[in-house]
Amino acid sequence: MEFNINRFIALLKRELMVGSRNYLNVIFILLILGIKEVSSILFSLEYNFPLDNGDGFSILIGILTIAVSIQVLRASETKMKSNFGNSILIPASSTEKYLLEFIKVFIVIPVLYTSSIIFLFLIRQYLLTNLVGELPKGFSYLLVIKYQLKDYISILPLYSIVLYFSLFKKQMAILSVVFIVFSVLIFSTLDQLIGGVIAGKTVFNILPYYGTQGFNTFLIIFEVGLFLFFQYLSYLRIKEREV
Amino acid sequence: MKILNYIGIKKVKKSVRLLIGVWLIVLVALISFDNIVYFSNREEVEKNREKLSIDQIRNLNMISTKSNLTISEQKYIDAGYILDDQDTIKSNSNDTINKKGE
Repeated sequence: MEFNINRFIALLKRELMVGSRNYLNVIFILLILGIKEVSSILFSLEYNFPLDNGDGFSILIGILTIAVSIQVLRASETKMKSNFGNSILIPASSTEKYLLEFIKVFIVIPVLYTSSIIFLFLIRQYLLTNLVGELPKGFSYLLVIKYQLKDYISILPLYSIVLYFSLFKKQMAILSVVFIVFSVLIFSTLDQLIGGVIAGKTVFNILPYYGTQGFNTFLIIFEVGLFLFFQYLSYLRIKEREV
Repeated sequence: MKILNYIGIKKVKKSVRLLIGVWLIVLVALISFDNIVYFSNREEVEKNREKLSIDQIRNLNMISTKSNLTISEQKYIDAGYILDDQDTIKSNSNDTINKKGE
């Protein structure tokens, strides 16, 4: 666990110099994907509809967005073998490289996403008001940030799975979404199958304590554990790449 | 991790081995916990299910194929949806839903 602040700052500078084009690509993609978020926020305010924040489908969309942006961020690494070799041979310890990945994935991408959504709302407010009318009542930029923060926290444990998968040589960030979906499907299918065998008929036995106080506490502990476990795996993975 | 060696996963890196091992342990633990809890106190579980909100019912319906949970009109109203006479899906009872303000 070596860490040198000067070396880390040099690593950050290199990242900006080498990957600036990738960051522009990510901003462009997030602007396009942000349209969905903008329209859902506008729709919920317009028709007094509660925003589907934190439910299964919005979480899935959120992970896909992140997986795509991480994949684009790593475009230069995955496209050319020499770039991948360079990234391994950088004179920095694996702790510093892991921290760089952490900052890239957990801070830069969410900030870029939120700011691209705010940018889209600014366009809507100042350029499109004459065409489609004013923003609905009750809208504020603080509300947008609040929604995004809520989404971000609910997605965080799965986010770390995407980070771990994206550290493999080939393009595997998208595969992590498949892994997550398949894990849930395998769990639910096996659960119902075993429940059916025990009861002799089909029963609905998935997550029996779902929605209770005890379950929520268990979920928080489980998610924190999942997050920390995948952070450790990511660190191990970066260390293994150099061997 | 010795169990994984028997399956044939010997040459893979430590991080992948850890992932597969923990994934299997979590899967088995969750499934056995679910079934033990469900079959030991079935009635309490059914009572809990009635109190679930719309989002929670949707999440459960999303991950299961055999779910028997339906969303009642009252739950829509409690969650803040404004239901209109013309566009609502009527439940089996003959309740009608007033427009907002009436």
